[in-house]
Amino acid sequence: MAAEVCDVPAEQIREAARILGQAERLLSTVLQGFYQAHQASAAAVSVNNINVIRGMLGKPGCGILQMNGQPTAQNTREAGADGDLPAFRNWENDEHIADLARVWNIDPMQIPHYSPPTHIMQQLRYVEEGSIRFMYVTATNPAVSLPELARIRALLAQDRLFLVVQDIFLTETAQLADVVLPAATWGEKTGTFTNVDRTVHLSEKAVEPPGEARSDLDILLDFAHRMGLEDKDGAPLVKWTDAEGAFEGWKECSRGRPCDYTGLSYDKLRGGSGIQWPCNDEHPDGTERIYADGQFWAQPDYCESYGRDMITGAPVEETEYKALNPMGKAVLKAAEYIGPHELPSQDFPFQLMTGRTLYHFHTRTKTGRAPQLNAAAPEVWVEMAAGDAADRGFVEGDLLRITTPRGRVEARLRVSGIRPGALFLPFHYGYWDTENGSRPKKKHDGRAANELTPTDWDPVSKQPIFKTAAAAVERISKAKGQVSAAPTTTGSAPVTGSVPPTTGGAAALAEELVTTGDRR
Amino acid sequence: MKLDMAIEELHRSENHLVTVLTSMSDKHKADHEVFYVTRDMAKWSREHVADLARIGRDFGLDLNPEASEEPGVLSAVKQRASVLTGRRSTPGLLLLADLRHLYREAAGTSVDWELLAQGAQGAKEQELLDIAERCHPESLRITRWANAYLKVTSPQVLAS
Repeated sequence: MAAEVCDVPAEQIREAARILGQAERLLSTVLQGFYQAHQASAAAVSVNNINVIRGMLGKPGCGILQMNGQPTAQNTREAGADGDLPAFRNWENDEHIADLARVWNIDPMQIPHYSPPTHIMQQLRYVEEGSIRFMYVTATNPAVSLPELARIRALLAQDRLFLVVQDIFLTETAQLADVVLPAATWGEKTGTFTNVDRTVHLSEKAVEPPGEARSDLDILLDFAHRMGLEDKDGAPLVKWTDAEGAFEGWKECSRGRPCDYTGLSYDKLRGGSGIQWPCNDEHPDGTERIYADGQFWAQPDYCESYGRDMITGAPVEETEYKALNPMGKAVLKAAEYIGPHELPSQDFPFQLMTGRTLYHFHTRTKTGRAPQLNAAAPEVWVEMAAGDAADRGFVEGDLLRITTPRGRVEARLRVSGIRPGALFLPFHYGYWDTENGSRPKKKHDGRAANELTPTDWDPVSKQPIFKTAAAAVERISKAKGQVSAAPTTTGSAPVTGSVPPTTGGAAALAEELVTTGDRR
Repeated sequence: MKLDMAIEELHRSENHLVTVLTSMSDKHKADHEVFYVTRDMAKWSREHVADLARIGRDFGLDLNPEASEEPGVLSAVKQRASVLTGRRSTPGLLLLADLRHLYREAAGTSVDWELLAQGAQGAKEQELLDIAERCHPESLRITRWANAYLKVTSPQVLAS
């Protein structure tokens, strides 16, 4: 089954299993290829299972890095900015809620904990049916990054929705907003970043933000004060006024939780190269390894979640979890294979995947403005296997139209080493640097890959699925000597024809003189 | 022995569960998670119908291994209606009613599996017990999902 689904010979799967099973040190790392695929959580959890079963945790050279897509996305997870409760508190655990209410000095009833946090895809559904009328977007660009863009644009552009967007650039989403709040970027504000390996770094303000731009924190504090948000004694709910004060507030909120920051301070973070949490009285210099000797944070009264059904996504209830795991051991979860929701068919014979290139971050709002990065990958392309291209008489640089039931995208062809039957489109390209700004010029001929993707998400993690959609391709015009703008490095490396190589150019050369010692 | 009656009754209720799940899926196409998860769970019930038809032969039954499905046209009409009313909030109440209905149907089916498993143990029918042990947890998972989704959806529907 796995050999057939993955198009990898069974013998090679066995060989890989032997490596995993016999490795003396095993470090596993995954990214969106897992998180945004069909049955994403079940796949990501399998990686954890293997490391747990092999005892490859909490030892030198071992571990799991389930990477995040954004800088400090680790801290957004910890601090509750993804919609979860702060410091890995469990919404199903009444004592955790009472403790958070104590930290914030509010009534526990003020903390929504009657169900799991409402994720963005469900929030947008509520925007669609009209029960959400106000939406505040900070530092992201759903009008390019979410699936089925025609739907997303239509939802966000509704008159009955009041949309506020806070960003450093006038993104596609910002162009649909009723109010835009210009924000400062890194280097223009002070704050901390936390890596996926729990290392906390201090990043201090170096220059003033331009024009009317202010740091996200200043804007949000101003908002809280103008809203008159109060605690249960009538004092201001948000008691700090700057980044360091907010960090002190966060330390208190994290006390006793896995991500304990109480032993850190801005002073302690200055000078060195970062400290790993938990950092507290017991571990004043931070903690290099966690989960050593099979000790986990899975005790029913301590864990951040009781978990979910790996197929239906239904949360596990408290009593069920207590019966299942009274001693707080690691829980191994698995799911049977269920087929993707959209399979290639006669009308849509290709499997479409969207993804990333090395040279761009997210929706290009920053990297598209960095000349060298932009030059390396200036325009959208589509990848197809050599055999598939030859069958259709397509060559490098042909202008193709890719169609799914949701929309159409035009892109030049790169014949790459991709799996036969699959198409790849980078998702970075939107419209902010095109004539129309927030949307494609013609309703159905866009360049954003998400014009094509289906509205479907993993029921466990709630992350949209970007690796299984069925698509058709046709040629609009022949290359006539033109090549696609895909980088010749990484996964988009060409396998046919002659394509000028992607290089950094003179502007990318740097010379550094090291003055200490005699090496140059 | 009345195991044949129990098998026949369960075959009927699993068959009905397929219809309840797929019909609910079609009616709520605009609610994407409901649309897909109910379809995925309907596959379980389809497999249960086939398993029961197979084992039924050993008990002198002639049951259809294929679950009875709604005609494709009806399904397409329901999906279209869901998309057309997708901008209104009234389908929210309908969703709550459908989740409640699914919960009751799935709970009934799950109790039937309990009965069958007990009967199989009493009669020392190992193969029948194996099937019950494999299928019963899945019908419980459908019940749990209906309850959980009701919990997730109801605050927004009722308080807005």
